Amino acid sequence: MRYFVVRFLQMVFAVWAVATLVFLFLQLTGDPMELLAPEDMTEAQVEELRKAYGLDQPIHVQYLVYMKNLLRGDLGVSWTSGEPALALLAQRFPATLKLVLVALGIAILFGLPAGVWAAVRADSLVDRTLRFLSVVGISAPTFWIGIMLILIFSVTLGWLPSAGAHSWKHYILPGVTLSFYRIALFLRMIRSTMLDVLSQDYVRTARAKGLSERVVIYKHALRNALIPFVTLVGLQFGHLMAGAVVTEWIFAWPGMNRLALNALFTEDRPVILAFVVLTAVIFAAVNFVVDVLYGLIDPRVRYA
Amino acid sequence: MRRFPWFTALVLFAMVLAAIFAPWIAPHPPLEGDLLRQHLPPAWLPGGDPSFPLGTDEQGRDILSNILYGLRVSLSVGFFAVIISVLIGVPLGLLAGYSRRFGELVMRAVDIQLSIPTFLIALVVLALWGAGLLKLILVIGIVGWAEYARLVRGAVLSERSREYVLAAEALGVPTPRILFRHILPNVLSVVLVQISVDVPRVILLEATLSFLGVGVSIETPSIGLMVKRGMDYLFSGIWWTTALPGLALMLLVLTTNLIGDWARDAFDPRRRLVRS
Repeated sequence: MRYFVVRFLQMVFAVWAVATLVFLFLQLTGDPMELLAPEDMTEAQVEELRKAYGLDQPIHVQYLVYMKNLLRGDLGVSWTSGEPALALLAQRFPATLKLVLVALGIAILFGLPAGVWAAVRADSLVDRTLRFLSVVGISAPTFWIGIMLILIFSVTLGWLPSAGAHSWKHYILPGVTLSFYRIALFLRMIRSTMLDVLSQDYVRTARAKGLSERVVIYKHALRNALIPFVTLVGLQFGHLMAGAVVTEWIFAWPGMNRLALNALFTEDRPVILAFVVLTAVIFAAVNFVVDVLYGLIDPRVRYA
Repeated sequence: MRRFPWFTALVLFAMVLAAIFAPWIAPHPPLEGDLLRQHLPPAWLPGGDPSFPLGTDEQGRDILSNILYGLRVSLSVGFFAVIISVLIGVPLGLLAGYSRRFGELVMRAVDIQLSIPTFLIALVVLALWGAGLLKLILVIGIVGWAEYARLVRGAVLSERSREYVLAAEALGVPTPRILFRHILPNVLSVVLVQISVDVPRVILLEATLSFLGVGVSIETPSIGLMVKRGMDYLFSGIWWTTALPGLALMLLVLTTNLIGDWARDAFDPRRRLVRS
């Protein structure tokens, strides 16, 4: 129990630190009035506007207001659309979530069996081929994969749409693009943990007592290899939620990553801030859940 | 132990040489365009010109020359950014492993740093502070310290209880000397393995940031920027401005990763594959 409490407090601390650092960083990037105020505004009007945004206050006051609002879930108002930043992100959240789940699904569907296959046939031709392909997978730039898929399946063959999120067909290209790296990652990981597990005593015992190879691999070995795998999948989920920027941009996906990228280009600070803080929260939450699960499955962790 | 991958090393070596000597071997100045020869296809296709082996882009610039100069940028970012990360992370990790108080402090900082993806930090900082090769190297380099500090601290903690350190302490050897002369050489293999993982990662990071327009500035030849510009002409069937630069980049990262895999097998008997 103490373990979970400590982890929880560390998580809250990390989110607070990130929120503070982004706030300070944004203070360093210049006077926001240069962005907010139209060119033809008079000096007095600019000061009026500054007051309206609360930007006339000293920094520590602004910081306290910011923290107070943050605790109530208020992350400011978008400078470009005038809507609450968090609401804007929340609108786009489901599109990103669906895409990420599709990508993770594809990655597990291919990466997991391929990893098991490679481990069972260690050092065979199959294993060496899969291993080489997995290095290719982690070496290919995601943006390039996406563009090549568009070139092949949208431009040349005309089979699949390359922009928007209107039907299930729209999920295929961005989903595959996002999963490409993860298939390779999962394959490598499952292969190496399976190799570890297959050399353990209990696997030898299972074989010795005459269980079929299928039962040994799927019931005894794979189950144990899945524990670290669940951790990796969880962490990748966190990474994808804030790392689908490139894919969402290429495929004009109506998700929150593309919103955040646009906010960066227009220097819409409240939205940038909200996105970074939201990412920190998602990351921390995922880490915490993974840790708790791990602690429940594997009691050794709690006492480490 | 696995055999050294000679062929892979040779390909990588050739690419590094080609990048270093780009100014001498590139057939054309990379940024010199001519609108009369825009979007020439590669030389082996009808309409191609043998003096532009891989074709030209929308401003008539030679693709091959741009790839060579672009690899130069990729490699220098990969090299210098990782050096910065090592120079910050390794000393901090050493001290963190030796002093309990300081170690706690460093680990909290590592936690904070790792609670946001590196990519996102670099993206936000560069988008707001402006693009540029030097800024890019600095930002990626500084952001990368945490992993080194964490790994080195872990390695130091396990080395500290070894007999040779206890012996040195008992003999009254000063702490800095123990750290740098006795412990550092023994944790170097961990650092080397991490470097071999990091260089390809950083090369991809540079390309991705440049692709999004926040990496190097527009006048710098860069693979990411080339692909970004080529994207506008995808639907006119111009494939060589995106496909070929990306392929070259992938080959560079692939060979680096293969060498890294070999290094991990060779230097790290525990073979830690899992990264968070």
